[in-house]
Amino acid sequence: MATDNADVFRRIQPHEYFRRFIEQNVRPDGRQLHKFRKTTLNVGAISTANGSAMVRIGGTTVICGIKAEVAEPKISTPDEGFLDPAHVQAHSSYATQHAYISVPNVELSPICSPKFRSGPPSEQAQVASEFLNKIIKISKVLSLTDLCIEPSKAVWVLYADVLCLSYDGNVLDASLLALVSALLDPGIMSLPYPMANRAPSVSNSFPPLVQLPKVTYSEGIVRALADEPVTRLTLYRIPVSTTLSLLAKRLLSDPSDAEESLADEQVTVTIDERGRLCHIWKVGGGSNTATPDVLKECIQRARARYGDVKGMVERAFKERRVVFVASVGDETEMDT
Amino acid sequence: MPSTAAQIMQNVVLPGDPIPSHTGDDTTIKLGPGLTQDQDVITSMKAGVLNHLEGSNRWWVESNQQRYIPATGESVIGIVCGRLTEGFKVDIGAAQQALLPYLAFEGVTKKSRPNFLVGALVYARLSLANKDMEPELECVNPATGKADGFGELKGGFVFKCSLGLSRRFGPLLRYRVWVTSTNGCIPPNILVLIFVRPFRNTSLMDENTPILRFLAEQQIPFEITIGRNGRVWITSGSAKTTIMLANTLQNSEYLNERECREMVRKLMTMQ
Amino acid sequence: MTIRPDRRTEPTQLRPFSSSQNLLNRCDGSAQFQFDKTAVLVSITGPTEVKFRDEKLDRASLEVIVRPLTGLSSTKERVLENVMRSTFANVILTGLHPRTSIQIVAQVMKDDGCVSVGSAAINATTMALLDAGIPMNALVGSVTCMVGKEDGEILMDPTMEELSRARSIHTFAFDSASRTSVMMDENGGKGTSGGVVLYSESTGDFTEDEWWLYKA
Repeated sequence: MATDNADVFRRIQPHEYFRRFIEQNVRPDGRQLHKFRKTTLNVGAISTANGSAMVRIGGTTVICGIKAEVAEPKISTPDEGFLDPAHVQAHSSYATQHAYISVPNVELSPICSPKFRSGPPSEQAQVASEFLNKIIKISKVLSLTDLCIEPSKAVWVLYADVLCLSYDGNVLDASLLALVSALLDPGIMSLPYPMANRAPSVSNSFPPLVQLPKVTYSEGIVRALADEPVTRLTLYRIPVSTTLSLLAKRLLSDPSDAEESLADEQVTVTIDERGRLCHIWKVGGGSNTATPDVLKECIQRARARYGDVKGMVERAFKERRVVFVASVGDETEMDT
Repeated sequence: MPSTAAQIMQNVVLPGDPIPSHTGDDTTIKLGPGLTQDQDVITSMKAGVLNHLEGSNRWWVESNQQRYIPATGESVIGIVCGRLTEGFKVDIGAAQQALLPYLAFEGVTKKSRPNFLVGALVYARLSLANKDMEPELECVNPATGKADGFGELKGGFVFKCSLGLSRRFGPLLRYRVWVTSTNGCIPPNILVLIFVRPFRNTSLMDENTPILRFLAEQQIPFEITIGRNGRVWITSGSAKTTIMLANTLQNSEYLNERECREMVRKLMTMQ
Repeated sequence: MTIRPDRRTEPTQLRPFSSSQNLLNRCDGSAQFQFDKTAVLVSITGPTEVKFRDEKLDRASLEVIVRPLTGLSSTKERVLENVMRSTFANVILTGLHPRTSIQIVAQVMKDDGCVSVGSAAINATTMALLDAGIPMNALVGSVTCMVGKEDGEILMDPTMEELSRARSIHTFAFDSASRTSVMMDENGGKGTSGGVVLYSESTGDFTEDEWWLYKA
């Protein structure tokens, strides 16, 4: 009955249970503290979307779909396209209330975990949405002016939705990876738009470019030009985030759901392909934990993780098949 | 005890400030409200004035707030909110409602239990206060077994004040001020203070709260009960006087002795 | 000597800030914090009765509500709520009031569009918690800064005009208790002398070295 006792102990004294594991430099799921879970990437998972990607990090599964459409720009920003959640369009009442929200939507519904209730998006979902929004727009991964077809007449709208299918912690990393991979998905060029350019030359080099058909605007009609080369929508940076939790004064890479709910401090470091930081998000904590050394360690681990993820994304696009990195972090043995 | 303003300023502490109380390793330090110990450092957890009593080496932070946190032995004014099988539910302004058992009264039996209506005002003493448990009240002084002024407060007027002000009135919590008529040995118009509980004459003359003394000197008969939970009940001959007294007490919080005297004088001329 | 759009002379100078406590009558503590044209009013109620759903057996539950200047609250406000709750969760000694709730309501009073609303809200909450006498283990001070696009100069508490040429924007919150490494310049008035970062949010394009620099 030893296993039962362990289970009882975990339920009654979760903090103590984790602390004992962490003291031995190992986590209840067998990972070392700096190890990431097996990460799988499947680009083009949804055939009906213009761009899509499914990401699994351990028990967390996230799927992102992007649809491109032509729409009228907002009066306030005549030369900017938008990146919106699809349901803004679907629910008109929501659209009128939140006319100026354009945040890629992250949905955490009861499908993925009993923690979430149906109804309006939970706080965690909104935090994740805002996280993606900040990285994409404020950290200038995508320039919305690139989505402009004709100022104040027509712009591209990218409807981006991230749906969590199974929740086991670290949804920020998974969502960002899914969104970025979906944006990189060359399938985004095969737009449902009439006469979309269906055979553009796609370079396999990393980073691939999101492509939209070359279009012209005249007399209120947007036309795709079949024989022109595609417009290349540039991703200026390829951000990859790394989330770490501080639990019992130790840093845990890629926290699972149980670890996330126990840890009171969380750091998410996002870096781009040049090794520059895009975003650092640290919440919670106190009592002398997040010293500069700890934060330096976070950034170091993020850099190591970037290399692994980059390789994975490159392979995914080159080979067009499901690829994965087994427990990322093997190369970065460090005494923690 | 700090007395001058400069001394008080020196003793102002903010949350997280360490308290320099280590005089020697073998001395026992007693920590009062507002202080906490984290390993071998004692820090303040509230903003207020640090106080120290040399004799017993007690340290505490005198702070002010609105929300009442129950503490055993304190006398409070509560409002009866409901009746359960074992006692009344009483709102004392804290996070949880307190329980006032039917048997926590002077000389009560199962047959003769008190019958307060919902909305009644009671003056009671906290017999049990613990952060993990529902607070419990009693309307009897455990030292004497007598009611000693605890019980229902009928009529009158209740107002709220800050917890700091209610504490400044001292342990003297319920008393009457009246002016006697000419009979017997007491000369006319001499002030007689009847202290219901506990008898502590010095409190009324407390230099921190001269306002009560000034009001008493005006020879207005009134009765006042001060709950440590920041509720003050007051009654006098007329509604006008009651409201005047209530306003005077509320306004006195940040006034010094001279200003208090001036305020009372002005109010009396207005009457 | 640089002159900034609002006539400040130093890049490290903050806009004139002020704070007043005990403004609201019906709650247990309140405070307003203002950075020039950005102001947030915070009220505290508690420790008070807790909803059964939120009841925690070993500590008080924190409830944070952020109301925007106009309109309904959106994702931005929800994020700020999340930030404030997690920032204060370990600063407030919640273990002293188990099975109760402490409600923090922040209302944006003035917003000139700069990102310092979050900083103002955190500062106002600290002041309101002090006013309410909620036990805490430290004070929290927060500030926003940015780095310029061309010159890479660090500007503290940037204005809207300066933000338009920001390369990256950073918001930090520090607690006063852990006096370890970094020192904050201006916050002497509030008794914060820097320490461990409680909350940090940085967006834009920046390097690691730059990030460490902002913290100094």
